[in-house]
Amino acid sequence: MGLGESAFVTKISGTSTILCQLNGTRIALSHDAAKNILVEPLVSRSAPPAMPTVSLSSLAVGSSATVREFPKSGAAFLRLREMGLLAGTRITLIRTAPLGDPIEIKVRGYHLTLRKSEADHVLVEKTV
Amino acid sequence: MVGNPNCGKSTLFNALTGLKQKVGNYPGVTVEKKVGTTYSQHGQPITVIDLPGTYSLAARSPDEAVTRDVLLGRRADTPMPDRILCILDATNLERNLYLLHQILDLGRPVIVVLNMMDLAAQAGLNIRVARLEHELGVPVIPCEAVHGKGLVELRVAMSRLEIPLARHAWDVPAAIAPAISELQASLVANDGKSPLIARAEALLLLTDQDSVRVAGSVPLHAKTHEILQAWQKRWEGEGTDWAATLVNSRYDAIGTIAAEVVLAAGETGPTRSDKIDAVVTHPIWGWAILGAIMTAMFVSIFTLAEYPMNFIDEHVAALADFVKSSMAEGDLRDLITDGAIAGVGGVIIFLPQILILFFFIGLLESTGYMARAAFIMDRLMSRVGLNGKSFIPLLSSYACAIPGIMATRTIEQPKDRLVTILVAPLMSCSARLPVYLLMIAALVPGDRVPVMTKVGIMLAMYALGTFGAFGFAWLFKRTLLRGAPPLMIMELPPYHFPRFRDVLLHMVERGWIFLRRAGTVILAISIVLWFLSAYPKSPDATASEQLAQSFAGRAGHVLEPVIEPLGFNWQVGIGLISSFAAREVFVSTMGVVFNAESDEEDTTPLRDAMLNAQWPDGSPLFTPLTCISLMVFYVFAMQCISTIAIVRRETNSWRWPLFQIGYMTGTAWIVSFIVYQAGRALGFQ
Repeated sequence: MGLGESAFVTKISGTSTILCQLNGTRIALSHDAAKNILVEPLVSRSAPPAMPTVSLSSLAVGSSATVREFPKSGAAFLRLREMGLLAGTRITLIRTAPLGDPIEIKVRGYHLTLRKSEADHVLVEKTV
Repeated sequence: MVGNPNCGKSTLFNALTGLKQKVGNYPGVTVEKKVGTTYSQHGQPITVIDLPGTYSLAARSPDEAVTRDVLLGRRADTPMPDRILCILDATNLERNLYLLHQILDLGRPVIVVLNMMDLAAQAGLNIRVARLEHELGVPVIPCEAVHGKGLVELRVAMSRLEIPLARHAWDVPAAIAPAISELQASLVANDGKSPLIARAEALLLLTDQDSVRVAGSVPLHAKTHEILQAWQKRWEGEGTDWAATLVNSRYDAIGTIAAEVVLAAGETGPTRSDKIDAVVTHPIWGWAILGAIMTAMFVSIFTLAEYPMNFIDEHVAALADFVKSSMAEGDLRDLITDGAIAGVGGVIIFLPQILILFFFIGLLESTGYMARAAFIMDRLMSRVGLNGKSFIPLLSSYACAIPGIMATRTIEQPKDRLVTILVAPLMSCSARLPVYLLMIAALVPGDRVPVMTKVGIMLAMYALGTFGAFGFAWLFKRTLLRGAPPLMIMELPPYHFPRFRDVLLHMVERGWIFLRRAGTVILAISIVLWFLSAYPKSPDATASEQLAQSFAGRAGHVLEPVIEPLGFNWQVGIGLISSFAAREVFVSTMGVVFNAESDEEDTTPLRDAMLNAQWPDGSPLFTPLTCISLMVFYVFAMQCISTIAIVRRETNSWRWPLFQIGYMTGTAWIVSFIVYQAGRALGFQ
């Protein structure tokens, strides 16, 4: 019904029976079912993604995107979070290095470089 | 003083303390301790510690671990500071506020310095300083450290008797609040921390996944660890991402503040830095610029350094002559002239190259180009598991490994730094050049041989060394020093005009550190080496005979069985031993051994003498094969005590220099052996 991994869901109400909204559809779930679904709360209350999420490393140079998803563990990702790369943050891909790796992005007003191997795991939604 | 890297902290530190600063070491770690003195409004001295730059108190490198430990009062050698100066870069306030947010948790007196206000204005940012002060509750001093603006106000703030405590009430996210309380309670009860510091530490412990612990830092009580592990296990089971929850919560709070305080004048077009970067990281122009800058640096170290080096040589020799003529003949005089003075000269001679290299490095860092160079080179470097920042130390090692090894300080990850240090001497340094030249002259005698052959052989040796370096780097990163691939998360700061004062201060600092730390070791060992070649004395012997029956000569005889399979005899053995003082000493030692005077320009007499040398059975000693074998040996062998001394200093132990001697000399022997024996088997004699 569309509630797969990486889906963006908004909880509308409920404690024993959960009512949530997903891609324009409303779905009801029993507590037992909802108990087994793990979600990552998002900071911002922005609209559900209009575009599919792609990895940061596959963005075209010059395009802007909003970060949607992040791996939970890994020293690199914690550090990226601390430097301001959080779900809901807007970024722009400035360029790639002449040899193709690493890539340079603009985030929160400054320029940051990271390897493609790290950017592969960061899922973003392109801004139209 | 704390702050993000590139926030202008060092400029501010230099502006406050001037020449009244000292660079030392934090005991037990290879992190530098920078302490200076400045004066309050009323003339009272204030000690300022410039802590390593960091983005967060959740440390990812030893440098950051030291910053965290000093602020938390965990280091026995550095008491918790009375006040904290937090430097923020006004051009990207949000990210900088993250560190400040963590620091405010500590509940210590904090003064915020808002630096780079001029750059913020240029970027179209209008920052409401008074509003920020109101939001934070601590003094906020706007500053332009580069132009010296704001220093007076800063000194006034630093001189205040009382600094108000921050207005810093933010709610720890509900999911992790109970864990924080428990940890805090344990830290207060078992580790003896004050409540606020305990809470700050508790928060840190949660984001401290794989955080770095360094020597010299007081460990936490076992009970605290238990509680932490219990909670972490529980969260892992539940799937709670506690670290992210905490970071998000902080950025929420920061976002609120930033929204009130920063007024951006809308989207501005490409900045000056953007335009420069378009060229500097261009697939074609980028390489051209990098090549040009590296060539300029390299040529300077090779040629510009010549003049001061010759100057030093002449004056050291003159001093020695003076002492020779004014003192009575005897052992003491020889000790002073050939031992001590020569030893000191051997140390000082490195200064010009070190100063020039660090001038360039300081210049590149100051303008912001260094980050771009690392950015461009990273792909190549990471192929062998190295960091992009290893590029310049390795390149400089072509001139001399000593400044190259000192330059590895910029590499944050200790394993990457160590690997770079271990392989740097394989990049054929300029001291090997006289050895190569001598061998090539013996190898292909006669001026009718095309120059290209000689150049070709030379280049082959350089290539061999370079491949060796990268090969061993790859090997070490795979085996011994295996670690997570280096993080390449790096900020590209905006370009700016170099701050010459900072560059020169940095350069002088490095030179001084070299003299003080490495100089003593080098001097000691040179005297020992001199002793070995001068004693036991045989009066009325020629220089050659004296050398032959000295301790060094006897060592050469002892060494002979080991080096015979490589095509060397005991006379060459003496040369190998003397190369420990400096590789180029090989040439002059051969001159003494074979009784032929020679100087750098004209090696013909020496070459002829060597070509006439024979083994006891009458076969020639320096066959072409032996020459090649010797050159190959020099490519790989670790000689040069000065390098050993600097490796000892930079790694804080004797383990790694000894390992380096072992692996390099071992490889030298093996490769030389293969070359010589294979050559003989194939009939080349």
